[in-house]
Amino acid sequence: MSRSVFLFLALTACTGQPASKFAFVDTSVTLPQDVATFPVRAGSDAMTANCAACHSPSMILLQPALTTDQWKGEIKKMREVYKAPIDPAAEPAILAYLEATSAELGPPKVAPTR
Amino acid sequence: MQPFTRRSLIAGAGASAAVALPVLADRMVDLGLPGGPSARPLLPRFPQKRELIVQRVTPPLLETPFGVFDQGLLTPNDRHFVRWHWNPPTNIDVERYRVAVYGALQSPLTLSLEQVLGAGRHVEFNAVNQCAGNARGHFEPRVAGAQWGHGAMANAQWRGVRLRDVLDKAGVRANARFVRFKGLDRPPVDGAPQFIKSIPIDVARADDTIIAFAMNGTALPLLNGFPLRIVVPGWYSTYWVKMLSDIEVLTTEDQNFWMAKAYRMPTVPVKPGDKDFPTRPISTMVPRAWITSHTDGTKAPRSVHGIAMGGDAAVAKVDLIVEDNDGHVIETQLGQDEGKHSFRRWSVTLPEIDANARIGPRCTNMNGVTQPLTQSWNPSGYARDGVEFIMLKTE
Repeated sequence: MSRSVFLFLALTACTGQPASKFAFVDTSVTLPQDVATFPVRAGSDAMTANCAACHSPSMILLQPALTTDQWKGEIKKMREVYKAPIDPAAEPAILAYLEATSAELGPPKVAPTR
Repeated sequence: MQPFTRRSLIAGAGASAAVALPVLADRMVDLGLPGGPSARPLLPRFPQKRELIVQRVTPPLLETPFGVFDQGLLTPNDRHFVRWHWNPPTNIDVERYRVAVYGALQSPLTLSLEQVLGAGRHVEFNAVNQCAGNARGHFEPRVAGAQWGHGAMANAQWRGVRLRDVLDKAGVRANARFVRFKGLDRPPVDGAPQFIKSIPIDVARADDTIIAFAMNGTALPLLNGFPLRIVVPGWYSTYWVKMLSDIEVLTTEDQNFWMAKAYRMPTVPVKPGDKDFPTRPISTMVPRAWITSHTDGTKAPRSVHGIAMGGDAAVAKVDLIVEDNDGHVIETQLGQDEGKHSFRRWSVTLPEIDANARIGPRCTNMNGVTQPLTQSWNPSGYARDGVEFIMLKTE
């Protein structure tokens, strides 16, 4: 069922033209599911379990080469600012996975701190 | 959509490509980000959208493919970039939709869509909507964050009601200093900071700060903030809060995370590794310009054209910088003025230049602000402003 709110407007200011109307229509969309996954290697299960509930793997996989300290900072931000329920026991596996992700890009050319 | 593979993600050429978006196999494009990863998928498709560069599926980060900017000054709604910090609701019931207006006001209000549109006369203008982190992926050294190419921007004709008219219905108290906006998007975890942003009261009361209900003549796509979003022309889109639900008038500077910790610019020059430098909330945009007619590796053309934006003032002029053995600065012809916050077309016929020259357009706005030839660096990759060059090629 779709309902609309029709608004009849006296004037549109810029054109000075009379009596336009604007229709808002109930809107329902389906957003696509992300079917992309973390490439399988040591730590990928920990990544899926601790990171993928809130955001797509691409947010991590598309980062430039980051240093270990930068990745630690990202984990800390996710946990402390965004309240991500990251299992402390999984953190070494997560960090190792992130380091390996950056290692594939070659030596970090990124800034040492944010 | 195919799962990402490391091979496809590392495909970045590492060249200093400004606008080149070669289409790779399997519906992928290469953003030319230095050091990679540089390849991005054009799938999956999103509702009310045609093909966009998919930076992230959840919450959606969708970039406008750069070629769209050569097709017209106004970006079609279904190619307008998308950026959500948290997932938006996927259903909007237009009869139940309300905007709450509260804070330092005489009489707080709760407004239906009809009441918002009836709050004042409707104004319409073109304005560039640009993410603060547009082209973050081109900063060197690279910085963490959404790794955008140059397509986290779009130009649209916005129609809406002045925010001032809605505020005046509620009666703004004399001690009002900022106006804060909240939308319907919510973080997935309790305690995470909801995305809320505030602007100074004088900006909120400006003639062209509106609650927009239409872009390019039709309702906003849901992913661009249906049914209402704030539009603050000349300011980065972080303030253009989508699916507007709350307008709160504040008497003190906003201390929420998205103002006090995130989206802040250094107020002094910084270099990688610097700490404890002063910052302020990012605010107005700066002049920028791009070549849209050619990409890296093109043979010296007879003429080039592209787009420019003035930031928080109109475009005054665009010069084409030619870096070859001689070096030239060539004044370009500006296209029709479509409004001071709009993209503006520029074009120029080239003299004889070296085949291996580097060329880039440099915009100066009506406030006299000119793009620098070299890009400065900041730790969040915000407010990119340097001249965007393309490399010509001898062949």
